[in-house]
Amino acid sequence: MIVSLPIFLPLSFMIFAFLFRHYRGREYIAVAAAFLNVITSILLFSQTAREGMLKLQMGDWPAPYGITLVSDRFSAFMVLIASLIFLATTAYSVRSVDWNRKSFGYYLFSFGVLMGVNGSFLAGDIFNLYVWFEVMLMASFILMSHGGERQQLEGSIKYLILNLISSFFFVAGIGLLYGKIGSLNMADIASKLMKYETMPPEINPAFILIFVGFAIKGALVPFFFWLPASYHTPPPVVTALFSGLLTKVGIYSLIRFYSLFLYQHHEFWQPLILGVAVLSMVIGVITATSQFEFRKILSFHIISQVGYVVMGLGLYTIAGLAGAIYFLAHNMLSKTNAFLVAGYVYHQKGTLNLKILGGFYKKHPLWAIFFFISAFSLAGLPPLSGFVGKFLLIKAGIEADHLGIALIALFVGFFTLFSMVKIWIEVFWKPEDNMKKLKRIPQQNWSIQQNPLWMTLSSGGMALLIVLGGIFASPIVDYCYLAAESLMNPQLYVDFVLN
Amino acid sequence: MGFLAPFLRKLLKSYTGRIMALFPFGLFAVLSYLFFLLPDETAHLVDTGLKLLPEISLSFRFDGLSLIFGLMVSGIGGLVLGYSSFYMAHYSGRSKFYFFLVLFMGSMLGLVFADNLIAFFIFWELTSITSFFLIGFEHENEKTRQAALQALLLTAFGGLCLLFAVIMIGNMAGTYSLTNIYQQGFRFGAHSNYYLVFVLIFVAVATKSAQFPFHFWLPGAMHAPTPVSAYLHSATMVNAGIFLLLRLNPIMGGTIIWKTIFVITGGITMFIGAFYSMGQKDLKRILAFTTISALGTMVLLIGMNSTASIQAALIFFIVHGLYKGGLFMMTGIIDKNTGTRDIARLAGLLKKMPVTSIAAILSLLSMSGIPPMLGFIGKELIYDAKIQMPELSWLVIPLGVASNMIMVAISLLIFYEIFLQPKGKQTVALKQPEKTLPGNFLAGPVTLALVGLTLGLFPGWLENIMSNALYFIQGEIVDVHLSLWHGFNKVLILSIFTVAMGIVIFLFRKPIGSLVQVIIRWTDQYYLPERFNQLIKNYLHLAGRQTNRIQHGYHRYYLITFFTITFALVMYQLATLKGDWIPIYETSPIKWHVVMVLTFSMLAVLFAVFTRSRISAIIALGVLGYGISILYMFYGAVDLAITQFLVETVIMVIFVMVIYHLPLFATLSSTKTRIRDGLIAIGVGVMVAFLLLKARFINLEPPISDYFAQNSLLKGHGRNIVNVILVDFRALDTLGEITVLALAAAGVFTLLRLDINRKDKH
Repeated sequence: MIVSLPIFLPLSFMIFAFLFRHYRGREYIAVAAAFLNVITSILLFSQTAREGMLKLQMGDWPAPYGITLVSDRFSAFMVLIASLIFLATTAYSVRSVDWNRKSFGYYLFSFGVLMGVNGSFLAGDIFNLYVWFEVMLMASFILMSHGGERQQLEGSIKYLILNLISSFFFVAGIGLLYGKIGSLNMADIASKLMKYETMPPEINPAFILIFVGFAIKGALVPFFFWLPASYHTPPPVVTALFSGLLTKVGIYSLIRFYSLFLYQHHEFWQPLILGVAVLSMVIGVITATSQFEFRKILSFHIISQVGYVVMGLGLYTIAGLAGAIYFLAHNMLSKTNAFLVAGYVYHQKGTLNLKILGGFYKKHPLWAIFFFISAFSLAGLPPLSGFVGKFLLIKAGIEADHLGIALIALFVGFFTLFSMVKIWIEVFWKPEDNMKKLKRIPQQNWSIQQNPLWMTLSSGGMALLIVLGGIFASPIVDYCYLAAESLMNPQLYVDFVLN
Repeated sequence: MGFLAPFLRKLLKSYTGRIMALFPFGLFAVLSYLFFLLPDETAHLVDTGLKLLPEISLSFRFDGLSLIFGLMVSGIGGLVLGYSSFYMAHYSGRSKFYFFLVLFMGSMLGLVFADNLIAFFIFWELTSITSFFLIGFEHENEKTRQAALQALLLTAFGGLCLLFAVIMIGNMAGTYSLTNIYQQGFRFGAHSNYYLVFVLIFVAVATKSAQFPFHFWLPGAMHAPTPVSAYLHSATMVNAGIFLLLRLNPIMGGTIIWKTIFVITGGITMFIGAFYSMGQKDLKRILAFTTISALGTMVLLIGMNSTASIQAALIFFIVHGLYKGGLFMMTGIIDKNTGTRDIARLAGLLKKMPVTSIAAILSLLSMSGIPPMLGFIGKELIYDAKIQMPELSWLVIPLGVASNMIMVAISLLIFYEIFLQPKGKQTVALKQPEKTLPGNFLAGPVTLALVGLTLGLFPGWLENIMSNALYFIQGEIVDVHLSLWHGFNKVLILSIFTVAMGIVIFLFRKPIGSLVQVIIRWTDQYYLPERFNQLIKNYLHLAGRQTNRIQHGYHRYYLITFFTITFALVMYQLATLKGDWIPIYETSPIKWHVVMVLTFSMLAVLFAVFTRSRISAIIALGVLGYGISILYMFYGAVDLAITQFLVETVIMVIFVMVIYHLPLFATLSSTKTRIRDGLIAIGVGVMVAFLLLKARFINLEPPISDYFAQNSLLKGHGRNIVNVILVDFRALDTLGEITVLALAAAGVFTLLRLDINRKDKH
């Protein structure tokens, strides 16, 4: 029962929001619903952590025929982190999103994103996963274009079209796979593939198409173009939400597919995955350092950091996977919070151009601390959570004897630090230049409301999580190791779901 | 402790520094207690039981080496805190300052006492970060920001190298605990990864301890407030690299590459630092360059890797910390009280500020290595160690003597210029007489100078701890004997010669000074901080160009990239399949009505591709859609056919409605691009068709659809299998799709109705 709640809770809120469109207190109800979602996620998480895996057969149809929802340690962890991010961004929106947007279904669509994301984490059926991808895509597209400002529309068209290609490849792959193996249930497919000594090569083209679909979703090189083209256009809190959830779902699915199916054809997939990882890390960081706009820097960095996770996957050792899972969770939190700070800066100044901004360290010391924590966590400085993630991955790389890749990951971290320090120096340290003071007050209408308490609370809460995740990393890492071990043993998953 | 600083400051007002100083002093007392307790060949290990990760445990190791460093860090730290309570009195943001200073102190102590290699790295990194904030304290100044950035980038780069190196060492040794590694007697000089680790460690040390060619951040870091320089850049942070070398010496020291690289780098750094210090006018910069020289000396000594040289390095570390800390604080006092640090403008301070001057003169004596200061003993040991290395002495002795001569000359110069009253120089006005300066402001330099003097007179106090340190660095039991008077030997002759030559340089300071100026001006075209900035700029430029090339903004090229890469991947995969290119294993008999429908559809597609009118293209596509639905019907899927018919019709109607509002095709693509696009389209189309054909004939497993056929009526209570699948077997999918549709409808509604610029009604 609990397994389906992360899907049906957002759905119920969406129905409510649709029916009571004009209800004034909707933002508080939204925050309450997001909070409720955190609680159900904690329940799901603790139960999964205790029992290892949970499943739910929808409509009580037995496993390979009906749709199965599965929660294992990996997915429960992701649901939990997503719920925290969602709570933070929802609370943040109370003050940072303008009244017009809110009265036109802002919360409806953001809960749509949550529903799609949670569904994707819990799906145990490849077509069902596709459906959740669609829910996510539609909701996120509307959020991205929500408000219909010119710049937004431009970004969202690119976002939509390139992501539709992803859906096309994904669904084509599913079709091919179904044609060949005759099943949609993940566990069932995995068990059928396991019967072969080596994976029949006829299966691979379908997986290549699916891989491309995920790679587009996950913004891996060379499929990332939609992300930097669109992420800097919507209201900042929307970017924060997206950066924490959307790409990560693609990567999550890639890890899931790799551990269930692709590992069987390791010699073909491993070099491919590692190559994509290295390219993503390097290209992401080079493009990021060249930017001079707060949000663009952070957006390009997503590509690089997603590369880290995929590197952990490509190593395909327990240590590598555990590192990837930890890094994924850390990155979701840190990235979202960095964008939340960007949102605050935007609300104060109406621009995110580094060359114009300045003086935030003196005027807004609290937000300087929030930024410092999230950005330097992204750069992997101890004792923040980013360091633990980076350490685990590099250590896994060294242990797996991929010294070259580990070294690349190391130096990518250096450039990440460089661009984070660049933001720090330009936005926070540099004195504000009165000469260049803005002629234009926000062209885009992301309203500034008086009391930023909600914003401070949510960003502060995230910053606290990042620090705690670094200092008390030990139990979290233990958990990630358990999750990785069960991923590395797909037989467990198959047995659990099919029996 | 550091986290309390802001609160304490509110509570204690201007006493913050003094009260906080009690903390390091208390620590100092505890450490001194340990210092006298420590037996010869043991190390105390204190395990706090805290663990960041299973492999990163927080345990502390107290042995001779860490105690020497720890005493310096806490002792000077206490003095600096007391000192800054006056120095910083008129700065805003003092609580931040204390916060970072105390945090730095804590990290530095952690670094020194850490037993776990990863914990060591964490503290190392923390010192880099806190020093970034300390150097950039006056961040409104652009130069300061740049200096802080450079220092951070370089030290963080080194830090990353260190991280990699310690993980590799830990991986090879099987543990990250230094104590365990020492106990195993682990050495990996012959391991194939030795060179990689060595290079990484070298970079870490060279960046942190300002070795050539990474030395240039240190003079820049002089933009920090003076207490910071007195602390970070004398006895603590810059010595972290030295400490690391000493810690790793038993694990990886003594190889040929270790000896050559560190001796050469240390020698060059030593000389360059001394040489450049002659050309400076700003007292702080002079001190910064002499610090570089001193660090070079220590690296050189450690590189030589004999017992005598390491002993000399340890003593010299103490000597240098004491006199350099004192001199920096002296500079701060003079700066505060006269408003300048320029040696050309300062004069006659001996009369006006006698206490400061005497402390400073003692420190200068120690710097030039003149008895009875500890500096003399340090220098004697260094000469001794160098003479004992016949294979290297031809290089290191001349360099060392030259650097020391310059030290002597610089000390004389500072003494002469600012404390005496040379002819033709005006005295500077004091802001307040020295007597009115608070005691803790003067206490720093005076205490350090007196400690230097006392230890010089009673060096025996250090013997115990030195032999313990040497035991853990060199792995042998050494009886250390320190004394001022070694008898009349080669070393003493060298010392006398050095001092004499130093005086000669001082006497001829004008011609030599101008010569130095010429050389410095010539080398200024390779001025490294500038070069470094240039490097960053060039990199940004290059990265910007590449970014524009990658993220170019042309939608069609994005699509092309997606499709061609997927195509290539599939083709590559197919190529690795052996002999499986022809997928058709069986052919079904040709049905003419199917062929006819297909031909029609194909014609429609061709027409759509070549027509110039949008409407006809859309209608042609509609024909294709109808063709497909007819095909569905032939194969018995009536529902599907009807759905397809409806969808096609609706789409066509909408298209036709919309099309009148669109502008005409602006430009038609050139033939070349058309051919390219056509090829890509055909390629992808053929690929998909090919894959589909293959899929049609590869059925590895029985499909699950039989189950649906059997159970749709029995258990699902419906005759129409498709419907039962939709609303029962796979109802969740349908629910999801309904959500998508509802979202889409709501989205369209908002897009049309939401006017963002409407007045806020709330």
